[in-house]
Amino acid sequence: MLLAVACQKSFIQKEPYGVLTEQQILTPKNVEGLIISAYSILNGQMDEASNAYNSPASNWSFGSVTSDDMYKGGGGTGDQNSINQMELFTVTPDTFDIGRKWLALYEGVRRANVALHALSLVKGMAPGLKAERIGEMKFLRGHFYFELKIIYNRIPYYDENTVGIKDYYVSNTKYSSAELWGKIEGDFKAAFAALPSTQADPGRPTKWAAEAYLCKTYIYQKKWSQAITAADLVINNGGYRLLKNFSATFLPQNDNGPDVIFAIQYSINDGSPKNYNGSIGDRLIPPGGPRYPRYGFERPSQNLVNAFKTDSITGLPITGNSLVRPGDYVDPRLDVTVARPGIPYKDLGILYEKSWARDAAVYGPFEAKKRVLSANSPYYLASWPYVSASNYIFIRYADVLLWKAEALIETGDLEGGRALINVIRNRAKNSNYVQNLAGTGNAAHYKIGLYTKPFTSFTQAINALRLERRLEFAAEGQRFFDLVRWGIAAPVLNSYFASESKLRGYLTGAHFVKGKNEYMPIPQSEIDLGHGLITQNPGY
Amino acid sequence: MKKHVQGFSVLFLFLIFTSAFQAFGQNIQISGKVTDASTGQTLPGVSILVKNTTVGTTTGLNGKYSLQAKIGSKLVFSYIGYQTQSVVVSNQKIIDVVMKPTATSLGQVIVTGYMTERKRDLTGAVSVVKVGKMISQPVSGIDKMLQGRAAGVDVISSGAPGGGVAVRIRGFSTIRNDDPLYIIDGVPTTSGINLLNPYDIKSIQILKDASAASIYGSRAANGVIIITTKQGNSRNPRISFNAYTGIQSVFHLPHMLSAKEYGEAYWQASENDGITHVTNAIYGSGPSPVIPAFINTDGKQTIPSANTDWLKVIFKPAVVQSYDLSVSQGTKKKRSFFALSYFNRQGILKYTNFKRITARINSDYMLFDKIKIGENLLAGFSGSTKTETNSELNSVVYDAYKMLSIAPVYDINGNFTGNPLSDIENPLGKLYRNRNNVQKTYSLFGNLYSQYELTNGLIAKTSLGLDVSVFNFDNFNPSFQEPDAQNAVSELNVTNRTNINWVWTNTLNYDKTFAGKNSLNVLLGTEAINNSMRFTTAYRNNFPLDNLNSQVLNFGNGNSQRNSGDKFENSLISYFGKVNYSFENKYLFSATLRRDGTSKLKNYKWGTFPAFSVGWRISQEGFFHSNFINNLKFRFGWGQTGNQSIPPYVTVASYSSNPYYSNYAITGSQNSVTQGYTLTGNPNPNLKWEITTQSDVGFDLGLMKNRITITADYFIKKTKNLLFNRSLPPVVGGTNVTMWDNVGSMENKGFEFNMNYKNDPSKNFKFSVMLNVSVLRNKLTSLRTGIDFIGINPAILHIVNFDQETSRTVVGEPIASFYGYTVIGIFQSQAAADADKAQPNAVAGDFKFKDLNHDGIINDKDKSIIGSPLPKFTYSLSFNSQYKNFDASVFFIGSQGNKIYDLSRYYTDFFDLSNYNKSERTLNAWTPENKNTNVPRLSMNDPNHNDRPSTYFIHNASYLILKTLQIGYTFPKRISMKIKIKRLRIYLEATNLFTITPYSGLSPEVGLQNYTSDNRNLDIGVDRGIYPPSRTFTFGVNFNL
Repeated sequence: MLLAVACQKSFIQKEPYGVLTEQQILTPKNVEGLIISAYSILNGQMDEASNAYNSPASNWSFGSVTSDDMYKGGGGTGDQNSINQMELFTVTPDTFDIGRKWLALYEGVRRANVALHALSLVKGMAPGLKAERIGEMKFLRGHFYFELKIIYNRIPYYDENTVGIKDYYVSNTKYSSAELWGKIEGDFKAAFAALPSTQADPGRPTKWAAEAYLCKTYIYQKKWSQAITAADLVINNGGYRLLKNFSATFLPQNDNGPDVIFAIQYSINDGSPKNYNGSIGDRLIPPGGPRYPRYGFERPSQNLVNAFKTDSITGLPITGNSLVRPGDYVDPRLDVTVARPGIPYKDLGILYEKSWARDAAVYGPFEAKKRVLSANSPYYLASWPYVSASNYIFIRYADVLLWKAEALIETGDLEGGRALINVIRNRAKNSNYVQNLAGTGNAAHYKIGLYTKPFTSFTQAINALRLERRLEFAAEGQRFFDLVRWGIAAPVLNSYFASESKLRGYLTGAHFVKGKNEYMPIPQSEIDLGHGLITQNPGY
Repeated sequence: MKKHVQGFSVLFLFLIFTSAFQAFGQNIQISGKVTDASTGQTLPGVSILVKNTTVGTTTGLNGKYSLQAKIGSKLVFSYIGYQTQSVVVSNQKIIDVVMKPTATSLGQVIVTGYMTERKRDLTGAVSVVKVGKMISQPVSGIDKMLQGRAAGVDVISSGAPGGGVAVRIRGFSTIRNDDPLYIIDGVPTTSGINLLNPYDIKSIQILKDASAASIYGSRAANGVIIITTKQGNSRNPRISFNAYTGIQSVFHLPHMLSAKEYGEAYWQASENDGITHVTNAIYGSGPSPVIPAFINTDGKQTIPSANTDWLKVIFKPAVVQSYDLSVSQGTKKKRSFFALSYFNRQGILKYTNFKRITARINSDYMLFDKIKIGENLLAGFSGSTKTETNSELNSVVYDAYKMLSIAPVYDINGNFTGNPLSDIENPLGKLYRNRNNVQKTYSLFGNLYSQYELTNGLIAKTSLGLDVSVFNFDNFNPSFQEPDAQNAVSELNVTNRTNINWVWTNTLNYDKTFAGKNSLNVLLGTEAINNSMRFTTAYRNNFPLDNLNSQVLNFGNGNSQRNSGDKFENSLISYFGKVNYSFENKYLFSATLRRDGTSKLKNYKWGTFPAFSVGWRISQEGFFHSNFINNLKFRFGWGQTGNQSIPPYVTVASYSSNPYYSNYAITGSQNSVTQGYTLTGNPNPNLKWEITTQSDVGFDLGLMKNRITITADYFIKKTKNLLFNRSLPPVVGGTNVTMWDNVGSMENKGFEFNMNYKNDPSKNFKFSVMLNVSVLRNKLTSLRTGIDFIGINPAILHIVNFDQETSRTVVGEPIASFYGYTVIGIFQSQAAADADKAQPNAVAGDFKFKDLNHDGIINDKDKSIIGSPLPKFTYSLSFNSQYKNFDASVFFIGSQGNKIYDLSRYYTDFFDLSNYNKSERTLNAWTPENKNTNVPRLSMNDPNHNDRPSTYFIHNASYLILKTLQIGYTFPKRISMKIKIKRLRIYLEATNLFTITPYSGLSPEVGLQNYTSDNRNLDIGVDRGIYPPSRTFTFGVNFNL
């Protein structure tokens, strides 16, 4: 009894196992660990749950399914019903994915801030390295706020000086839109100033990556001349080039290749208990068929397939949503992007068939292909959760080229724009085309040509640019955000719903409300828990 | 009456005999020994008083006493649980007394926490479960011994063999963990209840109110269940054997659509959506569905079409068996009890199973007449093959609801197959593949103790309790390819977990009677508790073979290996004291104080928990004369108890690496990552104890020679500083979006009534009736500013509810109330639908929802509390009878006013997920020709979102269940003794013979989704396809040698 009294104080003092205290974290080595964890959240995997597909890094749901490019897919409209609501624009502040994406992006903001705060306190770190690491964290914070801005628009903003829980009760209307953009720009400018031209670790952004992202923020604000300057800096100094083959960009062998400006680094079979370091947010995308698990989400629309239709002579796009029929000429990028019946699927040595398509009665015969890895690839995990080590690219060189082209056209230099569009088309033209099973020839009628004649009007030029972006970046999570920043989301999507619903009955009733659906609602949980400081977006 | 006369005449003869030798007026030294009449054991602590004087003493640990008394004076021997005896002092120096246990329950000894008390002296609310009766019945575990047996005690359990159990005493005093504290032979445990062999149990006492429970301070807020195991108590070795075997079956299966009906419903749903040429990959395209010979979509002819009733496929009648053998013996110097048991219950869900093997040794030894040492030890093994149920995802029962009837169980090659359009694994295939995945627990539980009598009435005791368990689970998932669901490579997950908990308790107990009228019992003690847990997991895949012998890690692909591991520890130190005082057995008083320090809290480690109670046995008063009322006691108690049931370390800031979300391939490597550190949580160093304050007023009444006993209690239980892992604004990020905090207060008020009636025991036909009624009103009374409600963690909502928010806990309402929209009808015409501007997407046949805030739009603000899973009252009724050698018993339980959220309808009543089978309710869906229905029109698109959480899912689930019906026969001794058996009884029992309920699901006893999750109390009464209870017919035998 006496013994118990004597040691009571130490007896009820239990230190946790396997953790670093607030002091122990502040060594140069351990602060690096905080930085790594800020990168780790790029993939949208924020907890131990297996549903990072509700907060995907690739924005397949937030940027492609919400556009005229893709349907949700899966086993009927009720399967991941939240994404169905996103597709039909019937979302509410309670829609599940809207809350999950918000949580994942703010987790990124918080981790970057935690690392920045630790970097301000750490002792014994080489000053040059410390400055670089601060630049990296500002780059990441810029990235997360950029995503938040384009998805939710009116967002609470806080920085590394936010420490206590009470400091997280922040208004989302404190800053104007321009002020928020200014803060995002500020982070990329600081990153540009601090980061080196090359990085030993390909996962870390270079100064050119920061400049490219700055260019992207200018593009989204229609700051065209600043965008041109930024793009030129990247083009002239970054040492980037397009790969010879369009399809090669999406192979894991070319992860961090010369056309990659910033990408999320995926890894499989690395000892992670559930392989959550792979392409976890995209794990529902693989098609069906004999070699894949048939989750069958993110399904190309007929409208997207039609957009690839080309003139048999000029190889230029045939616009107007003209149905692609067997024998028609198409852009060769189509069969890299979309799985169509009768075309070989990757290097599996078999033809893709309609029977692979999950719930074809609802979602049609096409399946995802561009960012799906061959089931034969050693970089593909053939067991649950069926992820791959093939990186998702946030910014690739083609993006910078087309941003510059867009800025040039917007500022009146139609010819400058045409030249850059042709760079993109020329690469596609000179790529290896998908071959038939025997390997004796093209799998379909491919034809792609350059814009050989000068654009006659701004409208022609800008439409060509916008179509080129759609074809080049289909299934890369960008389309919806492009439509919104171009201000054409309402007409494009509503006419898409009108025509597409004749083929896909479930789209009946889908409607894009201008002035509302450009942005997702603020999650209800943020409003409920935000001490009354949060204002809902208009229309919700 | 006959017995009384006999006892009296013996005493009379004794008096005459002794008076012959008496020499009056002389003070002599007397010593002697007091023993138990039935066991011959010495009795310590017996109070001895010289009548009409203040001279007295108590017997020591060895049962001996000595005192001085005058010849001719009268010695009064009294002891709890025994008939008081008087002996006239003659000139003999040694007076040994043999005491007889009292027959009435009032004299019954109750273990109330570090001490024992007589039931008649109790001032707190304590229920005693009559174990003696129960062991002649087939009981599989503690839950079955508690259900319906005591007022105010609610037992929720899974129908699965070895499944979870949740016992709720007087409602829900907290949010996270409302499990009571179990004290088995003085050792606290919250786990391990499944491993206890019911036949080893001697008594179960339930301390319900704070005045009784607060001696257990920090962990007593949810009530305390004290379990005492058996000791040897007969001079001659006693061997007893109990065995039973039974057959269990499922008794109420819902009906799903047949292959033909589903096709027709699919066509109807498509046509409702305006599709004119309906197509389906299986049923073809045309004016109506066609059932093909084969259902493959790949053109092959390997999967013949069928009409499978998948629910019937996964269930089967199953055997349960139990064997228990014990040997016991007790002498003055040594007592021992040894028991072996084997229990095996096959599940009614195929390939599920639970088995338990236990061995127990309880013994004690008396040394030097002053020291007693002993131990109570259980070594146990349990093995359980389980499957997930009551979940939206991965639940095999729900999958059977969802699998299309047209899919056959096997393809033409005899392999498990399924529906080529759906991702559901063949439910039977899933059960079969899981058949060898046994979750094994090895356990050592018990205590070693020693007690020493310092002086008369003062006993020091020290006890070291151990609760050690080792858990092992080798979970193998073979590779398979059904038409859609698949597992490309076989996988083995190995989990090993070790829990080591110890408790060291030291007490001083002083028991003395002064002047014959004042009885005082003082207890002082300290306790130190340490709990530790560690686990490791390991994984490999791609095993060359699927057989059981291949399921070792080394046989898998080394490149796929993964592992994880962690450790946790927490401790508690306590000081406590208790005083019981009674005056003339009439005025009773008790006070308790306990102080606890916990490692789980940081700035507020210590909590102090006081309690007191008073009682008045008015029936002992001189003025109280009634032949009708034999006993009447009023009781009042007040006290505080604490709760610190939170994970360890939540008050400390730290950083750690989590393999799921901290690491990153920064180097660009495609198969290795660099370690990262994330915040472990949002620490709250100012977290405080949760405190429950309870007042209880009650009475105990005995009528007609105590043949009728009534106990009634009313209580108010208020909890403040509710511990909850509250949600923070999501801007803090998704990894740590919660923080442990003291968030609000909760109130439980209730009324409990227990009545027993026994008829005249001298009659040939003996019977007894017991009625329990419990009324409970629970509500959340406050939440701190900034928190509007307590919801379920979204990650859990996803897995178990498929993101449907079914329940919320809000101020002014009971815990886990159902939350959603209110359906006020179905639009009966397109004109009516068009007229409703609040639901722009609605068409005829869709639900009309109530616009609660009249803002002309149906949105989140139109959701409200739409029902509660908590009943208005619960009751149980049992009837036991005996006629000559036959005995019979009947046991009913009932619940009134509880609701169920039938979430199984989310998939089965709506066509949003069209490739899953639907309930037969959809045959009654709204059509222009069938308007008199509550089932909305079928639609693939459901633009009105008819499947949103609403009153459509809420159903009345009141029930009355005939739990058990038993008939037994005890062979006459003259027959059984021929085969040297003292007592031989056989019986037949039926359980769940009938259920009266309006609920249409598998069973109104839905239970919890999960019995261990932090959210288990926030998600009550939601049906997602449960493991149903079974109807069982059992044959059993009890015999004693």
